[in-house]
Amino acid sequence: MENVLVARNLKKVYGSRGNVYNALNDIDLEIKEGEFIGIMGPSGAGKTTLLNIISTIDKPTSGIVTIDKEDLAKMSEDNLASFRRDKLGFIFQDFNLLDTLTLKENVVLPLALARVNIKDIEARASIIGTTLGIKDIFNKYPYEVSGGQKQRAAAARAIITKPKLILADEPTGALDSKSSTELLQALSDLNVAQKATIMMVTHDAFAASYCKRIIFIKDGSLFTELVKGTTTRKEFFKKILEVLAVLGGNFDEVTI
Amino acid sequence: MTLFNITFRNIKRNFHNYLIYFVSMVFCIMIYYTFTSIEYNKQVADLAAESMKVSTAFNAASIIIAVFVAMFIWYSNSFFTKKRKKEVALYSMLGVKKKQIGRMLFYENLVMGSLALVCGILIGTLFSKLFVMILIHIMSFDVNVKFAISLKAIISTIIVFLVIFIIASVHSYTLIYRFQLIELFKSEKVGQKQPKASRVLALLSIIFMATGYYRALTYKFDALSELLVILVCTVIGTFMFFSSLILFIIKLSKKNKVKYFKGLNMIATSQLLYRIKANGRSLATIAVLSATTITAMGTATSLYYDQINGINKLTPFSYDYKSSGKSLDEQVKKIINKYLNNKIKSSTNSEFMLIDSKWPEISKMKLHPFKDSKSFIISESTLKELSKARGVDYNISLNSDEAFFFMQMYSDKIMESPVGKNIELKIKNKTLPLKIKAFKNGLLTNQLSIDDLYMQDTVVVTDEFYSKLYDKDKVIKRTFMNVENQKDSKDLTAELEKSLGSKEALTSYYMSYRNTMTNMGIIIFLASFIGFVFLICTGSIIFFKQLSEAGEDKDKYNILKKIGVKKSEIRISIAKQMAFIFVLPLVLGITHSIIALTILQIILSSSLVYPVLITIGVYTLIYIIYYILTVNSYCKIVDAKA
Repeated sequence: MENVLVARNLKKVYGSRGNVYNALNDIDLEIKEGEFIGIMGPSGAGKTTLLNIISTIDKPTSGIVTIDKEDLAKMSEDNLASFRRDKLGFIFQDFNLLDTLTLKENVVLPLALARVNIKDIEARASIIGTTLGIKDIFNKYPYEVSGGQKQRAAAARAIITKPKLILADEPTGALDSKSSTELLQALSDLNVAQKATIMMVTHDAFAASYCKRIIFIKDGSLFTELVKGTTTRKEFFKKILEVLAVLGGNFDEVTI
Repeated sequence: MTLFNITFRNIKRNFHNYLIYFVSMVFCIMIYYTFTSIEYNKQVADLAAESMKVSTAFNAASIIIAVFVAMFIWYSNSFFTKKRKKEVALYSMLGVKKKQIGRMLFYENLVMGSLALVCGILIGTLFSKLFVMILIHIMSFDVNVKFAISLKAIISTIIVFLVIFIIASVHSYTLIYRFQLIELFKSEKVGQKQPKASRVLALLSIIFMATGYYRALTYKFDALSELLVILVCTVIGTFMFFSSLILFIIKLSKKNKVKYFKGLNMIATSQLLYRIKANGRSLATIAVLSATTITAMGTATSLYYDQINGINKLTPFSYDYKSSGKSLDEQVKKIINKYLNNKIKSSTNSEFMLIDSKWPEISKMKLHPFKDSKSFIISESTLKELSKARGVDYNISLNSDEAFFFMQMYSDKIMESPVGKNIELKIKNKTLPLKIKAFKNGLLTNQLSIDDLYMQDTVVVTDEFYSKLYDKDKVIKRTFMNVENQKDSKDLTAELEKSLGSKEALTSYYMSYRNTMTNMGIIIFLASFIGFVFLICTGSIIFFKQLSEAGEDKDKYNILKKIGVKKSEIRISIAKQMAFIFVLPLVLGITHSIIALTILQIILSSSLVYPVLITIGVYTLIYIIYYILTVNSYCKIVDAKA
């Protein structure tokens, strides 16, 4: 299995002179093709910072990030934009669909940007629409559909370019439990059936339980890691809760 | 920290937001001040004393400007106040009373307005000398302009604009009062529906505008009410254009899937739809305003050119006066000989007869039916003398029942050729018809005026016919002279006027030239400046509106950047959208004004193409500057700057 993402010694420091804040401290991370990774941690732990760096929106203070063997630091801003378009897919917490476009137009937007020809666009849209169960609402506008449907459309947009890495930032944050389950199930199916590589940042243990491996971050540093292995999702969920309890509590109280 | 302190801090921080607003205000104040100071400028009044009343014209212009600027300031003010909803909401939530917030905004407006007043008047004083120089130059005077500060003008400007600012400030105060706290926090867009484009309205807009255009192009000058119909049709058509037709066309473009699904076209197209729907009324108003401004400026420029070209036609001789014998002629020649610059080129004494007549029917339209009039008759011999003195050659041989017809005004668009038709002369109860063998557009001599009757024609008959007509009661004797450098004969003309009394009724090329240049100069000066003010204000309005939408669209473009759109691609998309927004009203304004000016072209003899093109060119140029400013600022706001 190839490494899709390799991050070494990632450091992100904000502020200057007296007011220095270490958002990330020496983070090492490796994601292989076909993995479904969760990044968890309390608020302010540095999850979003890490996500922003990996999605090329932000630059680390030091350290290396390579995605699909390309060193992000060596790319110009224009190249990074193309890189984002071709190699990455994004699912945001507040959907971030363009409200002036229909769901279908939103979904195919990355393909239009990449100037793919219209026949291929229609074909891929059709397939993905069916996969995520939104084909019959394709001609509706975002304000006309539910949160869950919007998020599935966002997911469709994220995968339509067949990206190397899908980045999801609290994708269930704005959804009710039923829609959450539908979305997470869809992501899980994508991961299994289409070998999509997904990195999901979340503080919701339920969402995280759908992942195959979870990395915990606290105060900018790696805390621990959990692998699902052969446990069921319910058991995995319980394990996650235990770790979270430790994360939230005093370090001295942990019995290893 | 007093309310005043907060006010000052706000203005300092918001300054670059308000820069364009501030600059437009300063500009308007400067123009108004300049106009009022010209109105009260003694030097200009003295120079123009003979012709049109300068002060009344400038007074009228400054009123128009004041009214327009008042509307502009009112509009911009409400606009900016609404933009600061969120800030007001914050203050309100922190417990600041609405009254206090309102008062704070009121002070802000007043401070900004006062600053603008000071700047405007200062710049105005500096530039007023320049503007007076331009005016004097356009009027073709060659005078040294003195620097003058008019206290009256300053006071007038301060009063007018203080009133405007106070009213606008009170208005924003009331706006604040009407804001509800909850709506101040709600997001700007609550899922706006897709703009609908009615096919019927789109079709109607074409019909209305086409009707207006068709009627304008086939206008027969028969009824003034027709002009009103044309105007109403065009205006309605314009409004429907922006509310329906253009939306319809854009929606149609979506059907071309290959183009639609390329790059950022999807986004640009849907953005454009919303933008035009939201701004439809403003854009239509701007189109109509642009059409009005271009038409007015085009008319002024055309009149200027037409009149200037026409002076030579109307006054082909440098001087003419009533002949009374050799001694008068000697006296005149003696005076002229004093001026070495204006040597006599030719001189001749001529005899006319003023006789009741009836013109032939030549009007293509129902302008004014040619009532019985009086014609000026001369003999063929007189024609030869006058032609020689004038330096032209009119070679014609007439039969005793024929005439050569000079017409003061002729336009082939509204008149038929009089050749072959009869002009009837009435003498001693007899009506004698003469067949017009040939005619000339333009009089043979300077236009004479006898007892309030202006010469409309000169009819040349054979010497025999002339002697048959001869009636010494109807005889008029005039001497015509040509001198060199007639444009530069100010002193000569002044002396001639002094020494010849009113009985001799001296007409001079110089005076016609002077009056025309003065009048036309004033008209074109006024029209240009008013047009300029309109242009700046309409450009600013589009600018403000687009920038406020930039703020709302910032998030959208952030999303796009995240999913991998380059900044350069965003810039191109924005430039395309803005191009649409600016070009549409401009193009519509230009086409409307071109149609309107074709009506004018019928009346004027010289071609309007050149002056109108200049007007349109200048207008478009300034519009383009606004366009570039808008795109740059927009890109800065959504952070797509290179």
